[in-house]
Amino acid sequence: MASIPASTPAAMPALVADHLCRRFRGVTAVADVSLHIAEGARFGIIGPNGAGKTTLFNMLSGELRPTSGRVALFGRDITTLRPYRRVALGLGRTFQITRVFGDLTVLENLTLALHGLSRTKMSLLRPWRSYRGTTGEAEELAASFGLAGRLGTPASELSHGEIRELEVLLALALKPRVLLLDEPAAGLSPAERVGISTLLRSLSAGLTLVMIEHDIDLLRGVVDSAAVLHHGSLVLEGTMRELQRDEQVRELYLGRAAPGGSS
Amino acid sequence: MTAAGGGTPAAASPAGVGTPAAAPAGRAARLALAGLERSRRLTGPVAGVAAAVILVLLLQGNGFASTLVVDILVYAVAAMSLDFMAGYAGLISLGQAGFLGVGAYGVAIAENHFFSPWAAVGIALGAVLALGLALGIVAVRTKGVSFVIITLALGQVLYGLAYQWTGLSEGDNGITLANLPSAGPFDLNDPLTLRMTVLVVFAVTVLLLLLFVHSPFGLSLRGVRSNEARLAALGYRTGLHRYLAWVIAVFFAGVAGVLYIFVNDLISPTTMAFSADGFLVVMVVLGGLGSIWGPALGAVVIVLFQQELSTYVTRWQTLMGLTLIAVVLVSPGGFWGLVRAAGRRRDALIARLRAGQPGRPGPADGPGPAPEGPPLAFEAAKPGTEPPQAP
Repeated sequence: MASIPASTPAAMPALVADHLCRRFRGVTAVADVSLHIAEGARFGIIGPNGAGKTTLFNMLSGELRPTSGRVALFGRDITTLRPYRRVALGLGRTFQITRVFGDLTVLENLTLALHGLSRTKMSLLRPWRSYRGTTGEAEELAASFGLAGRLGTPASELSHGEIRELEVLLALALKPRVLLLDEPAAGLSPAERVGISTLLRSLSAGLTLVMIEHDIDLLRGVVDSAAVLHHGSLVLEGTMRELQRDEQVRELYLGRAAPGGSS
Repeated sequence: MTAAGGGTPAAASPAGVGTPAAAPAGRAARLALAGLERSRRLTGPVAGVAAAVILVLLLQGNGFASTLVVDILVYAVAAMSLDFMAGYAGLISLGQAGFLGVGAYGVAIAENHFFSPWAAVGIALGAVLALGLALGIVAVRTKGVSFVIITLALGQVLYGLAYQWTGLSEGDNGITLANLPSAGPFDLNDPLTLRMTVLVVFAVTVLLLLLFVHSPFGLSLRGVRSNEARLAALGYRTGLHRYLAWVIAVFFAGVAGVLYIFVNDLISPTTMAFSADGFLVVMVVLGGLGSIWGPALGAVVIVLFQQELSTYVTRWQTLMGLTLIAVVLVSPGGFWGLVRAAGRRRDALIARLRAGQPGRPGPADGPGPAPEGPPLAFEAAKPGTEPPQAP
């Protein structure tokens, strides 16, 4: 399943946003944002609340149509494709407001995700539990991130940290080539943050990761470069170190961070 | 060791025998445990006995009881079809009786137009399927309250057609069916054969719907109901899944309609009236949304109310309303919710008793340590109740 090594950024970018705009009844949420994200890159998107980060994500994943502009995945124009089609092309995402299937157990959640890209999701005449390969994979996936003992638990009864992990696992179950993570650590305790950070750092190198995150420390551990959004516009793009040195960014967003912190 | 001792009820008993001091309490617990274990094993036989009772009632001639059972089975098929889309995909339809009507009218109208009884059945089911496929394109575009209203409207359109398209439906009078299908010795005009056929169709419907809801497709429907947007982000074309759920549900309502006209020999617009749609929803909610078996239980209660209670109590509908309120308040999962909860409580009790048993001789034998036995054993016993625990 491993894709091409990340060492060739000169090749076709994994994900391109081309002059994306989105207006809601005259209010511009995202204004002319262009991004080129190389395959295998670990890319962060930061910015104050209301900067348009999630709107940008929703356009990338297909939940929202852009007012103008285009989105391309591995060179293919996906601007008009609906979310499930983009998923089939290798674009996975998680949600800021956690979305798991609360009525379903952890095993059922993961099984559902694993059937997502296979024709078996339409199968009517065979119990899902009899797909040994799939349930086995689900158990493995759960075990790889400490949810092994929770397979029979309804997702609504998990702790907040576990739900966040399950959310990421649901996206990973589809073996995406590009994964969009919308604040994966939102609302987590410091200990739980360590868990999710470890999970993110352990992802395969071929996977392209784009991540919205407020926690700069967590971001620094996971991504190499980032873009700053403000009032819907791309203010700056660069490596994490460059961004942290930048006056404007510090003023806008990192205001309270220690100045001149050389990691 | 303790966990292994709890594994089989037979192994648990000898462990407690040697201690006279703990005997009375131990014996009571053992008896309780044995009883509970037995009740768990008895679930299958109890269902078998229930099936046998239905069979005997159906076989014992053309009495009131057998008519009642047949009516219950027909409505159970319709209620379960509604449960398939309402309880799993979250599509609560207020037009399901309309499709029951299409199935029944389909048979009657086709026979009136000189088709053979078998062909009439084929035409009726084909018509229901075609209508389901066509109307689903409209209905499934909506969800939640809009879906309820759209299906209500569709059901009323079908009702209106039955009522006013007198050239086809003979309006208010309804259509009577003269001949039922037959093939050699298998003749549905024979009441006993008909009753057995209804039972078989009911059983096949139960089996198919249970198979469907436990399939990956059934799982996807629960995903639709739980969080449709998330499911779309997992690569599911959720609209298609809802559409298929609708078509399947409508088709089985049509099957119920075919049985209905076979059993009653008459179909009239009242069968498709708004109140009939309402009764089906009540059966599903009363019995337990999302359980297939539950709505069959709901059909038992509602048909009994309609046909039995109504002969003694004029305001039987008031009683039905009060029953519905009481059940929904006590158990949001309906009758089937109560059954499930009882099963869970029993399993928990078994786990507790099993845990207590091997631990009990410990303190009596020697006044020493090891009070930590029970909780550990409990932990060990509990996961065993969930099947998927393979390493």
